[in-house]
Amino acid sequence: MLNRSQSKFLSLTATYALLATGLIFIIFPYIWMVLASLKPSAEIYNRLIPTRITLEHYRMVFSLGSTGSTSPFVRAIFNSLVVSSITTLSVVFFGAITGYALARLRFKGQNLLKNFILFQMLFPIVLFLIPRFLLMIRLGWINTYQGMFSPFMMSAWGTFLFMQFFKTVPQSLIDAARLDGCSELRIVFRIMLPLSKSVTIIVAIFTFMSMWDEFLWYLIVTKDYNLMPLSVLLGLYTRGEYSSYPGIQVAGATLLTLPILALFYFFREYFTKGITMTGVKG
Amino acid sequence: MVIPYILFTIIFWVYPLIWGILIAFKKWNIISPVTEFVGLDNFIKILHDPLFWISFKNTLIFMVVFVPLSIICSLMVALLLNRIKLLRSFFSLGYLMSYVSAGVAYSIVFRLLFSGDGLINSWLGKVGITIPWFSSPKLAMVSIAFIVVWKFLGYYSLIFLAGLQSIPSTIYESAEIAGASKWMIFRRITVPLLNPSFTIILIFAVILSFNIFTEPYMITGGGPLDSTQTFMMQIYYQTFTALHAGYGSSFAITVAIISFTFVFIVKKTIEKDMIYS
Amino acid sequence: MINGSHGISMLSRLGINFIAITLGTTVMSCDSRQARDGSQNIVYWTAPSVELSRFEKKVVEEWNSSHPEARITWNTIPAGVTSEEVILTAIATRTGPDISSNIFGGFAAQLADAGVIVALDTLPGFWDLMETRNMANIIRDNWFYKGHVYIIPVYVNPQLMWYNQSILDKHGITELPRTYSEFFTLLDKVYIPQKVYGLTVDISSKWFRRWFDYLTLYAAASGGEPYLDVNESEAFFDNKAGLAVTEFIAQIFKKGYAPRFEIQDGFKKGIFLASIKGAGDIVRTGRMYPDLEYVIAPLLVPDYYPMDAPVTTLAESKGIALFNTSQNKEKAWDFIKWYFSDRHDSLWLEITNYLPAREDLTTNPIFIEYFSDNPNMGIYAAAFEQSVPLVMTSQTVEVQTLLNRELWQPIIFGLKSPLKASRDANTAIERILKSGP
Repeated sequence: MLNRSQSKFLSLTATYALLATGLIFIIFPYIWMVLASLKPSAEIYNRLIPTRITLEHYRMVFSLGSTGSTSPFVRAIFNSLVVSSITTLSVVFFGAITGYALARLRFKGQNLLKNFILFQMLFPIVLFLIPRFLLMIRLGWINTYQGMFSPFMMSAWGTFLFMQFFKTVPQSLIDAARLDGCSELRIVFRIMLPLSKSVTIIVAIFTFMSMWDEFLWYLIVTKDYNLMPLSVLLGLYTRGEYSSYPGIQVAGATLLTLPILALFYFFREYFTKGITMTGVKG
Repeated sequence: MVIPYILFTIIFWVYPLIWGILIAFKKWNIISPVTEFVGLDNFIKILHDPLFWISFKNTLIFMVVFVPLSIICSLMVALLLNRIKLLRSFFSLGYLMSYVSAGVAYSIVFRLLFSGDGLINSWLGKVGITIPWFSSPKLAMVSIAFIVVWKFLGYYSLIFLAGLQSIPSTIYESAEIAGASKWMIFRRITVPLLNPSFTIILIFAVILSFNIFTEPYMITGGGPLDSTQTFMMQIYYQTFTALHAGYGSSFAITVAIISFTFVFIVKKTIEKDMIYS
Repeated sequence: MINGSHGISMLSRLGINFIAITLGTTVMSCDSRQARDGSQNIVYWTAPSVELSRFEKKVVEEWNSSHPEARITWNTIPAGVTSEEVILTAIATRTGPDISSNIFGGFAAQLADAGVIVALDTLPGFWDLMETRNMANIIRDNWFYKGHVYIIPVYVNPQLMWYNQSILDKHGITELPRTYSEFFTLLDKVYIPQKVYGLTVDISSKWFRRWFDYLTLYAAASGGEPYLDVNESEAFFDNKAGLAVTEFIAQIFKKGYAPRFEIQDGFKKGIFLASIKGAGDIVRTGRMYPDLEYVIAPLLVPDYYPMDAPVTTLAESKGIALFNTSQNKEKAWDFIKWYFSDRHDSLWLEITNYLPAREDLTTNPIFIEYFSDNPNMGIYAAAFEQSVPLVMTSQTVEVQTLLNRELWQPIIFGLKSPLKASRDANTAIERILKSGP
């Protein structure tokens, strides 16, 4: 018979072994992706470990440009950065001020607006795709940056998160600031935001990630290679021009993944915090 | 301070919502300046559209695979994570890695990895099997459900883990003293107390099932034999390829109503379950 | 109470922020279109192919250096979505080009119905151009739609069979199969499960792929009879030829001569005995798989097909259209007239390996030398004379989508008998032809 500590040790070992096995399944596609982007085309389909390392796919990715001079991938990375950053800044900025007003100010229709924000989150995105596209046509914003980011500039979810957190800030701090003659806007950015570092970072990283990852909306509003964010450009190249160049596809997939992985690495604790706070977008 | 938010919501939320409902009763090809009021014709046409029913069936197949599989796997991972102290954050972050992969990127990776002549099949080939993951009409939607499980496993595990940690340990202790078996504890204490986590994950999973687009668009294009056509693929095709804006819009509204109904059913069922327990 | 004076100043500041962000990005994103509004630029879109782009790049540079008053802004159409989708969205959103190539007849018909492209035969010098490029008969036979010509075809793309030379050599085969039965007899010898397959068959449900398999084989099996009669709203997919082709494809899959999954570049990698390909594949294969050896032969025909009759094929074709929205139609038309010249056609042939849409490919001295230096290309030029064009209908996409759904995919997965598949497809297609676009 095993004694108590022995059996505890065994079950703990089994726990770690199971977790490690599961983790291999999670990580394997990443390992394959990075290796595939570095190996000769012929080995992508049937070998895991490359016989030699080559940068030819990345060279292709960075030199391609059938009509112009700059690589469309470089432009696409730039476009992704522009669109994702503007949205992130905007969601944080407007989320913070709206959240502050809802949590700490008193005005007519406040409760109505609070409830409305919760109500908004119930509506599936599918209802908005077509009319927003028609709106973009009317505004002449097809094939523009603002066409890509404008519908996402303010988020009910971000606003709600800020509102919840701002409720916990002590009233004395706000009163003191008002006595010093601070404007409300100043209070938001000088007092509330610095006190809510983690909420701000959570709203920012999840917004940035969802914009970087967005595919369908960009596909609808941009048909111009020069303005496409990386996700759509890569998607269309994979289906079209480079459908028989798996090397380029995987290299592109790696480029699309790495920035978010880096973000994940640097802000890892905020990712877990954001998810356990739940209500985070799925 | 709330004026920008209200303005924004009117322009990009309320106005489109109403516009979308209005054009659902019209026939309009976007190019032409003329729209024609057709009443409920678009909605009637949906009921006779074989692809609506095919998409419905495929969505159900996806749900039947995705929902239980992702919940069982992530609950298992969460239970395992809850048992360890050392390296817990290492493992939970490791499992979360798949969640941050972009839809287009992991679709490319899995399409190549699981293709008929891809690495997985060339390994399986050594023992004489080939699995047509994405090219068999019976398997394609199931494979797509698998890869979406891959993506969300870590995410759901974390929600469960947070739920597990909020259960006070005193409850377990008193149950153990009362002589309850491990299974009894799990069934009678852990599961009911995890109810909020279950609810959230189920709602996320159901909403997600109705929004599947990138994976079939990138991997299978809706084929083989329309076995991976989804509602989103149809709405995209009708509106942006065939330019039937009115029909697409009524399709979208129908899908929204169906997904609302599903979410509602899930909520009601789980609440009942809690009372029973 | 709190929303006093503070509130107002804050609001105005916020408003300014909002406007600044929006304006800032408007300016940033305008750079690609700005030139259009001011000067007399012409926006020109072409197919997203590497080879075609090499040609277009040369030609556009040449034009721009000699025509500073009407510079061409050239872009390729994104390929991941169909050209049709991109162009339709562009028209709907008023971001379309002045000129676009890569437009097939059926799509032109749709565009003409919507009134967005110019009837080119109404422009000065149209028929002169047709005569000098030796394409007047091609135009008369196939490019009239409701009494006008909306497209000038750039290339024609007849399809032929390719056989892998090294597989043939390994089995000492010198005589190529002519009929389906002969092909199957040959495959009995050659086929190795999972290693060497028979014929590359596209299993995707992309509607345009049917030009290159089913409809091509149909053209051969029927001796060049059309597959639709648009005026009578009739389809002929369940006749003798249609049934023979459907039966042939069904047999291929039943016997495992083609896999039910996609193998990228399967023929070029040497795991397929045969494949149906166009001339454009010659340059692509040469670049990516320089070691591959192959022979080009006429299409396979059903067993009933007479021995001595020539074998017909289908020649898909795409061309240039001029959009009504163009602000600069005269210059754009000048560009089109300048684009079609003997010199450009020779260059086109050399770079892209697609055949220019002309009647004098095998007789004009400017091409003769090229074809004798490139005998494989010569085979295609000769095949063009035995080819039939696509049926012109604005319902092409719907027809071929139904062909996929009712016939092609069910046959591949063995869900319908060839007879049922052919009849279902025929009924469904006739129904939408009758109901109109």
